[in-house]
Amino acid sequence: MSWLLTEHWPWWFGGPVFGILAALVWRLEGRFLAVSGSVGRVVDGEDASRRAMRQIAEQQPDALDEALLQATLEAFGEDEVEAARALSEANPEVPSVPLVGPSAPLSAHLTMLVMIAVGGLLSAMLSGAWQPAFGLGEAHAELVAPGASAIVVLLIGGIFVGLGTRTAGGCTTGHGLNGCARLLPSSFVATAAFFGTAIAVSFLLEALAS
Amino acid sequence: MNVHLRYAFYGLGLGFLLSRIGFSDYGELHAMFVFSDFRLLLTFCSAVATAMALYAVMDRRLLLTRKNISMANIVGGVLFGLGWALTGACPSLALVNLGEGKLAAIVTLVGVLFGAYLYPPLARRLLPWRAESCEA
Repeated sequence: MSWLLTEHWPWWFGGPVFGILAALVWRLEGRFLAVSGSVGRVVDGEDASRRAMRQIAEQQPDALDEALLQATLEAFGEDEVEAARALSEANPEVPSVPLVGPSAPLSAHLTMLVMIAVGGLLSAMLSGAWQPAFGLGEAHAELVAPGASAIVVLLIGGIFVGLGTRTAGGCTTGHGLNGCARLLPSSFVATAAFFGTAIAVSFLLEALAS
Repeated sequence: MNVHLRYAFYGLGLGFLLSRIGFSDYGELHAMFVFSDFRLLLTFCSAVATAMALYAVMDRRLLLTRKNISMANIVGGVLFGLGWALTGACPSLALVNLGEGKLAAIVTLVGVLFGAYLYPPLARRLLPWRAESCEA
């Protein structure tokens, strides 16, 4: 069983565990496990409109529901809303899935991000591979940039990642794992775009390195 | 259980998992992208399959809402993919790398935060499409 800590997990173990974690988060939070959104929340901070929304939710919890219902009625008309209500009443055994659970406070998102790093730390320490060093490993040094010259690439690449994931509305867990698992067309498109691009660029890097 | 404790657990679990699987290893990631090793790709596919099965059982259906495809999905995806291949990072992996002691990831992380910070001002003028988000 020591391979759990010393070796990289085989696909038939790692994959399902990952999928289970994603489903667990959905079950408990009513939201997708997703990281780029947390990054966005943390970076945006709490601005005036967010604060106002939070205050309304705390002081007049029904006000938001009322407003949503009004907006839905305006968008779809009474008949559609009635039909939807009748449908859900006729099928009580089908759980009504909240499209989106309550948003967690910013501090919870920050906590999660920090703990992701801690998870990496724990894994490295337990596997005996804890050896802090500047680089991202041999492969990166060979294919992309060695030593300190990597700094510029990582900064620019990082900007692309931060900007790209927010533009696309998700990252590998958001769109890739959850979105695809729920058959969301936008997720398929985003996943194909980022995987396809990463593949193309990787082949290019390989060609340039040799 | 307090929301902070739950989110801490999700973060810890995700970081640990990604590291143990090897997504945070640039060499392994590269091998996935150039199809010289299928382990990570199979991991990803089996993760999606597992999540799909669990969602179907939990919710009795998969589709949540018909999210519209937007240019933002494509443009954002391409930008992200480029960054991913260059840095080996998506937002979570940069954090995992840092935790694992790959200190260069600090630079990546600074970039990711800066890029995320740039999104609101740039969005209106240069990236005018609204992608429906999967986000928390």
